[in-house]
Amino acid sequence: MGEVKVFGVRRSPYSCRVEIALKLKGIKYDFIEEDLSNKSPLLLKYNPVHKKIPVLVHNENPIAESLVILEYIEETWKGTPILPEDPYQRAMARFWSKFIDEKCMPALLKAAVKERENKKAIEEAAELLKILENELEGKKFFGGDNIGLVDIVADFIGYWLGLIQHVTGLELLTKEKFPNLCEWSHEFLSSSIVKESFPPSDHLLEYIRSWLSANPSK
Amino acid sequence: MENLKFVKEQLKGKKFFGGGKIGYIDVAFDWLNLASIIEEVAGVKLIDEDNFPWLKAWMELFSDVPVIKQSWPDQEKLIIKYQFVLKLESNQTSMSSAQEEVKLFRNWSSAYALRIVWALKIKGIEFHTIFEDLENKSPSLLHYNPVHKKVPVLVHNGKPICESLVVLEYIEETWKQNPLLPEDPLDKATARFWAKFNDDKLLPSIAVVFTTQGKEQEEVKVPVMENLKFVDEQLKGKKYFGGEKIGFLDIVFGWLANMASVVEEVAGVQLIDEENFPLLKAWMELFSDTPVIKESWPDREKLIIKYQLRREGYLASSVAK
Repeated sequence: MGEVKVFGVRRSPYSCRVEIALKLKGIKYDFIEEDLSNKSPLLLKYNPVHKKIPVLVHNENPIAESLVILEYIEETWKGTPILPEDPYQRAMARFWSKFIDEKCMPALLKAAVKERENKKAIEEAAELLKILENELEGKKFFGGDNIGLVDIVADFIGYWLGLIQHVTGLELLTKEKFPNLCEWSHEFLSSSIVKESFPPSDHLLEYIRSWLSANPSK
Repeated sequence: MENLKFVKEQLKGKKFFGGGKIGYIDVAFDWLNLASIIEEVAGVKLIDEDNFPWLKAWMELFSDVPVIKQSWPDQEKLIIKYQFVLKLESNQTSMSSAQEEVKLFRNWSSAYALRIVWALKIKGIEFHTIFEDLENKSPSLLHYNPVHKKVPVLVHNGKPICESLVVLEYIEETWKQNPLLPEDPLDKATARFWAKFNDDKLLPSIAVVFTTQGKEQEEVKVPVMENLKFVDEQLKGKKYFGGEKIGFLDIVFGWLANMASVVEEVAGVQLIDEENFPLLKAWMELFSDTPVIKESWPDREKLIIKYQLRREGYLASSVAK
């Protein structure tokens, strides 16, 4: 199995993605919590290009970028697969993961955090969520019956967004507008592995409150 | 191998299958002298000295008999014939496993679409091309890519796959010949990391240079140089990003080999020069010279005109701001 280390930040959804995947597959790892205002020499050595977390280090070999890490984990440890076998289904999983990372995440961060007074930003985020809502039709998880790659990549939507809404009063992801997504979030958070991988909600709420007051909306 | 073992046992203690002289069985097995032709054309070792010493000895003895030798068909002609037969066979199998309709929606200039063209051609996959006018997208394109409404879209047996990197991985997993990605998970991760780097960092940074001028352009050139340096380093000790052959990452970075000079000419800027990026420059030439790549390049004059217009548009709108 070899030595597995994760350089991350527990309150980061990107970092948690890696932990969920490793825990699902029962892989033991050491977690190194980074201080992003004072990055460790090791982090800078292991990710010289982006200098970001998360970084997975397996037998001294670093892998950076959470989606790349997730694919590496899938290919290295075969138990509890997070991707289907069929090439077309795999392509669909990768497509939706990219969609969440490249389109949804920036739009959600803008609407919920950076420009949280901006009505247009909220509308645009809602349009993207609608696409995901439709994708969930008839499915328990994005991955089907079990948690898969897309569910893991959607972790911000499943956990962080609800907590941010609780603090700011934002009404973006609501049961009325997005029943499938809300039901999915509930199922997702029911998994003990997922719960273990996330920081406890009171810690995260406190962090969100202090961050928001230090960073007023644009 | 098992069947050959049975045959060789028949030769135990005998010069020919027929005993001291050529007999009925020797004549029946005469075709075994085609074995060397099959071995050469199909690239496989069947009858070697170690495993089948008696059979090998018999083959030599048999071939040396004048009556036999003078009747052999011409060896060279046989090789050509069976090479052709093998090609037909493999076309049949690849065609039947992809009969199998493969369609590619693209436009004339998209670098992302070119990735798919190259991958399909390298793997020898037959496909139909549908050229889109992106100012007037077809109902088919909108049906197959409702989320992004973009090219390229690969449609395989009626099922659409979008996003060029996703399509490349699909092609790799569906058609196993001429693999584009390395086997080792760590090497694969490295390729995927740099592919993302190209799409998320390098390409956008060059796009910014393209839309600026003067002092602003000088400033935004700096991250481009840093990004290019990382890429140049990846080629250390390698002919291609993929090693000895063109691979996934060459296909992803491929747009540089053509478009970099277009950007440089239109935006009046020097990006990839020999002095700073010798490995990248060498790779660009090698890559561009590959027939499969060369024959697919969009028309350079058309590209210059297109991007000149585009740059004028950007500069005009930024002045208006």
